[in-house]
Amino acid sequence: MNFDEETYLTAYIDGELTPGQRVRVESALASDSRFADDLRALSAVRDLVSGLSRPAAPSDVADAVVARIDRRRLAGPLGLGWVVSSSSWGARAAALLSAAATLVAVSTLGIFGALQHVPAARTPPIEVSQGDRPPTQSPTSRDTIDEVSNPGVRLVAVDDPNALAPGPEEHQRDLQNQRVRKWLDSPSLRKLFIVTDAIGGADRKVGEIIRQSPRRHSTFGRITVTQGIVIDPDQPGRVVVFALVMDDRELKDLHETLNASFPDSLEQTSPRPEFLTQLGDVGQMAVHSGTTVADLISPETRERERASRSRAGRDHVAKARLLPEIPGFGPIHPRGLDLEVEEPITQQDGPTPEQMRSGPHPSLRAVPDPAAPPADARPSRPQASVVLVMVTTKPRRGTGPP
Amino acid sequence: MPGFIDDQCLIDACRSGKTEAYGTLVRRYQDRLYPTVLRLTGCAEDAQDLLQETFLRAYEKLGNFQGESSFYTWVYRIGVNLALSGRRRRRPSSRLGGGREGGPNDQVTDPGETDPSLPMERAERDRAIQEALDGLAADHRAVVVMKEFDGLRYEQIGQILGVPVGTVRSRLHRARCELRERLRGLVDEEAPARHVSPEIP
Repeated sequence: MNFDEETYLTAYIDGELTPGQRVRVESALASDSRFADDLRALSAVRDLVSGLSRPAAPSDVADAVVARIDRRRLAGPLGLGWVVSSSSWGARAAALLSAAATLVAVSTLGIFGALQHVPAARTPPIEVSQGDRPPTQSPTSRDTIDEVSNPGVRLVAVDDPNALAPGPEEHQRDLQNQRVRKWLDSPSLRKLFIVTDAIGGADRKVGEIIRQSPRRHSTFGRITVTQGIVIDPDQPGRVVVFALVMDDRELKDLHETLNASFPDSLEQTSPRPEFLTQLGDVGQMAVHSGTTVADLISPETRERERASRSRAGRDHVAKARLLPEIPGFGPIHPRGLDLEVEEPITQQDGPTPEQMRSGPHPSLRAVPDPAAPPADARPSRPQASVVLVMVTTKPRRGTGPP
Repeated sequence: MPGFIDDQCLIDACRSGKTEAYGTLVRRYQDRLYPTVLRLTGCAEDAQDLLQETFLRAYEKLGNFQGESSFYTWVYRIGVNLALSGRRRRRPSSRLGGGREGGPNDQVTDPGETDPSLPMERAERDRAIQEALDGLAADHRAVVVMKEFDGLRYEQIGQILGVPVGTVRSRLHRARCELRERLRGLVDEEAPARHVSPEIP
């Protein structure tokens, strides 16, 4: 037998041979006693190893693992306090420790790059509860209203004793958060506006501008990097970054509005990849809804559409929405836009059944996913891209792009 | 079984942020996985660290768990791969078998480190076998442990290690041949009284 055939002895012991191979081995065993001796020895080895004792694990393994998980969840990726995701309501109890732990962690843990030993924000970790439904818990003294977002958005302190387990809405918000975070990885993200806030309140104002800027994709994310975390050495201190999707025309309008509001403190540049990576990791994400093009439709037009669709009797459609032409905007068809949140569309909006059967209405223009190549090669279709608007409290120290 | 919660329910709870559910999962499988990592590392202290790290890594990747295999199989893979990736530095002085790298002043580990309930003779035998295992190359040792200790099929071993079945077979054969030499005395004790019957798949 050559070595490869000798390995058949091992496989023979383990019952891993084909019938033909087994016959060959048994023939060799019968004809040469050395193979039989080898077989016995290899079998003995098998039994010796399989007979090794199996001690039980230490009794504290599970507790130690859970404790480490809880510590990591509280500490976050940079060893500082961070907001638990809106879906992890179960971790709120553990997050009660984060306020105290954060102060200790910040002062004792090492620095990741530009991290500074700055006490963490004094406000306790908070979550954003977004939604149109009224809060089910009674407000605490720490509840505040986010003036930037929709009136339905509340900031809920994690020590709210009436915090409830996550439901479908929480899960949906978590999905939205994840989707917005993915924008940070989009290759179309090349634009960063920086607003230097010298007197305070600029983040609120910028948020309002963004919310009121009509655009095809109204969802936007607000990423807050708490004081004590520095992800850009040129921008120390607390920053707020808004992430949104716009086409060139919408972007131009936004730029003009920002320039008018912050004439001496607006800068335009390209974000560094490492900046985006850290932002995605450490920022506290909140997803909001702004003004869509649909919001600009007159009530009469909307009523005409509703009547038209109610005749068709269809109340659940795909993502397409038929809107009249609006100068400078046009109708919306968010086909293939991964950024859009899936939700049933009522009879108040959506194409007619005929339109659904025949495909997108000719007047519909697809808004391509910024992270994907456009489905059609229509040169007239505006390309959407991800845009960031950062509000910082200190002027940039460096020159040139970050 | 009253009160029993299946793995998927616990996993769902974990994904919702209920870390205590993960503690239940760990308790359920820690005794099953620990002997394997113990035999892979040859050191109780390293094995305990590796065990924790395995479950922590599994928790981090819980979102990737699709349920195509059992949770234990999935965690087992993580544990074996962690052990093989060399993340744990061997401590020769505290290895169960003494280890090849151990110096003359290194003491054999406390027999209780293997299993305090074992009779001394059995503990010494285990130590000798573990020492022989420690002398194998890591990938050979892994195949032996997975086959002899955990009873995996060649195909399963190949899937975990990412190698063909033929490679599993050859590595196992080489490992057994080497162990045969290292454990000649014990093998000779075992072999004469043996009638070899191949395993029936």
